[in-house]
Parts: sequence; C-alpha cells; structure tokens
Amino acid sequence: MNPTGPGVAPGRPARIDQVIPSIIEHDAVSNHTFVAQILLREMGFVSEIYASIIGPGCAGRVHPLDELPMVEDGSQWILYQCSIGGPTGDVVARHPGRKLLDYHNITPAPLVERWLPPLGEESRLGRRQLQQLAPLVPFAIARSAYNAAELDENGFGRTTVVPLLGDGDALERSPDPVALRRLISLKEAGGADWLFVGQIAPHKAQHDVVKAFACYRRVYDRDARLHLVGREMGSAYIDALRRFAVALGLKDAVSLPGSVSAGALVAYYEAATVFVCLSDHEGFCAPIVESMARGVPVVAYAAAAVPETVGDAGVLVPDKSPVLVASAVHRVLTEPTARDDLIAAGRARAARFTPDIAAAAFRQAIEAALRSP
Amino acid sequence: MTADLDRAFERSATVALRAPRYSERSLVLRRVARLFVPRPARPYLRRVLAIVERPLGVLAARRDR
Repeated sequence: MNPTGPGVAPGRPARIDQVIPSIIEHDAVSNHTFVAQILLREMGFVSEIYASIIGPGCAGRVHPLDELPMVEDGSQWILYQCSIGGPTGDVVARHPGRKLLDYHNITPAPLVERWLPPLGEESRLGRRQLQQLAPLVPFAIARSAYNAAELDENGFGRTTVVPLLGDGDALERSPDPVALRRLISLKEAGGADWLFVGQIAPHKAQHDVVKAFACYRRVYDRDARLHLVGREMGSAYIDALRRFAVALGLKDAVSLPGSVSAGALVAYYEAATVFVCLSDHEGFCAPIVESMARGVPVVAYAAAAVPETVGDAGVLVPDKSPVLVASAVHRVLTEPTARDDLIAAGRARAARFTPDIAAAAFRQAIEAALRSP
Repeated sequence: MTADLDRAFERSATVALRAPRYSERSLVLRRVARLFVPRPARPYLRRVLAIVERPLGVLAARRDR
C-alpha cells in the first residue's frame, strides 16, 4: 500500500476532491457522492470526483482515477467514498493530501462470494484497506451508528454520523404515469403489492423475500404480487431468483423490472401496499426511508443498520422465517389502525432523514474535519 | 414449509450457478455468428462458438461484476 501518513498539516484547503471505486447512475452511494460535490462546492471548495470505474450516466461528471491531482502543499484534501476494496484504496493511502473517509460499509465476503467470487475478494481487500487507512485518516464520516461502530473497531479515531445525502427532488416528483397506470391496473385483480427496492444481490436476500411472499400467498392472499426493483449484481443470483419464482409457481406474481427511472420508482412506491426488507447487510438502507416518506408501511429483518434506520416506525422481525414474515405483513395490512399508525410513524421517521437535514449534517462534518487536528 | 422453500431455492441456486454466463462480447459474437451461419448448420454453432470463445476469453465471469 505504501501509505504517506495523515497528510500535510491542517488548514483550510482550496479543494476537497472525492475518490470512489466505481460510480453509476441510480445508485445510492453514487448519488450521495454527486450531492456531496455540490455541497463542497457551495462551501467554497474546488471539488471533482475521481473513480476507477465510471458507469453509464456519469460520463463528463467524473474523472478517471489516474487523473487525480497529487498536490503536496496541503491545499488538496481527499474524501474517500468507501464501500468496497480495490486499487482506489491504495491510491488514497498514497495520496499526499489530508484524507477523510466517508464509510458506506463493506458487504461481508461470506454473503456474496458464493455468487460473485471476485466481489468476495474485493470485500476482504476492502476490510484490510480499511484497517490500513485508519491511522492515515484523522476524521471519518459514517452513514449510520452501525457503520461508525465498525470504524471504531478498525481503529479510526474520530467519526461522526451523517445520513445518506439525497437528491431533494427525487421522491417529490410525480410518478411516471405509464408505470403507475400499469401498476394500478394490476390491482384490479385484487391482492396486496409487496415491494423491495435494492440491487438484486445475495446479501439483499431477495430469495428470502420470495420465500415469505410464497408463504403469504398460500396462507393469506393468493392474489398478492411482489415487485423486486433494482439492477442485478451479476447474472447468477437473478437467474436463480427467476428459476425459484417459476419453481414455486410464482412466475406471474413476482416481477423483476430491473433499474427504473426516478418517476417509475415513485410509481412503485405509490402502488405498494407494504415494503418488505429481509437484507442480511445494510449500512443504512435508503429505500426504507423512501418507503416511509411515500407512506408505505415497512416490515424488515433486524440486521446490521436496519433497526437504526427503521427506528420505531416499522415492524422489525428477529428472524426471516417465511411464516413469521408473512404473518407480520398480514397483521400490518389487516389489523385495524396498524397500517395507518405505521404510515404516520414512517412519515415522521423519514422527516429525520430529509435531504436538507442530511446536507446540514454533512456541512457540519466537513467543518469539524477542518477544525480537527 | 420453510424447509421446502429452502430446498426449492437451493435447487434453483445450484442450476443457476452451474449455468455458463457469457460476456457481452460473447453475446455479440453469438448474434453476429447467427447471421452468417445457414440454418442447417445451426446445431453445430454452439460447439464451434465454444471452440472460438475459449481462446478469446469471452466466456467469462466478468459479466458478473
């Protein structure tokens, strides 16, 4: 890794550049990075984004990592958006500027390596790099208290929690009318609409959602539908999910529309009866907050940062037994006032994570970093 | 019911993990090849492509990233 130490003495830098392993549209960490750039520029810093992998929708807004300036006079700081291991971590460690780390968490290798062996390797590397970066980073930002605890365990000295930065307009926009019409027309057949939003990935455990959904259809609601919205991470897991749905006779009841536009995503939230999250690992889980903001009750498995994000505004289940999850969803949807109470609590909870609040917390964190020895 | 569902997913997972996954380059190669290979020779197309693809390294897990 050949680290360079914590960087040149503090002082107000002229620029705070961000470094991120990969960046792509419709991705929470990528979106957070773009909003952070806007905020840093508003604070008077020159701020560019550098990435190893620049995905669709980001060309012209992001520079290749090898163009990252290496300014040695202390006028350039680096904010590393950390969510996986790779060459980016080494570049940050070698950089002569002062280093800040924004930690989105790294998915544990055992959750993904069966499906995506290279990702398992990158995950292990990321955790090693995290330990190596700890003495080089005087100030770190974490997405949740859960993430902050991990940073503490890895030896980071000062950390502060800043919620995920978001695009203020994203969920306030009107639903895509075509998508909404299609989803509403499905409701004519009756039945609840389950929704989960997130990468189609093994650690998001959509297969457990399908199991619970199958149980729910068998016991409570034979007309229910399940929408699993999100881009696939690799082809094997989504292939298995499709095969699984077919094997259970749910081919027409389980939809996998992939990554959708912001307007279509709003349509999915509008049409959803319940949001069900059975992820094994989340550093924050923005879709839970989005569901709450759009008035969709949440049933979630209490793992990683999920309990912290849900708070007391959703139903947290202690294990993923399909029967337990199905009955929890049934109670939420049928018990008098339960659904309304959860929607009201969810809206109040989501109000604590608005883009304005997150932006203010981010500015405070950067100011604290500037004061940090 | 839980055990049945677990077993059903494991069966799907086993099949999906065994299935070959092709890179984008490979998929393009296959589409192009189909244009030029006459219908009677199509049954042999897969075997020929497998021979061509291996040295090209296009049958790969890279699409999984």
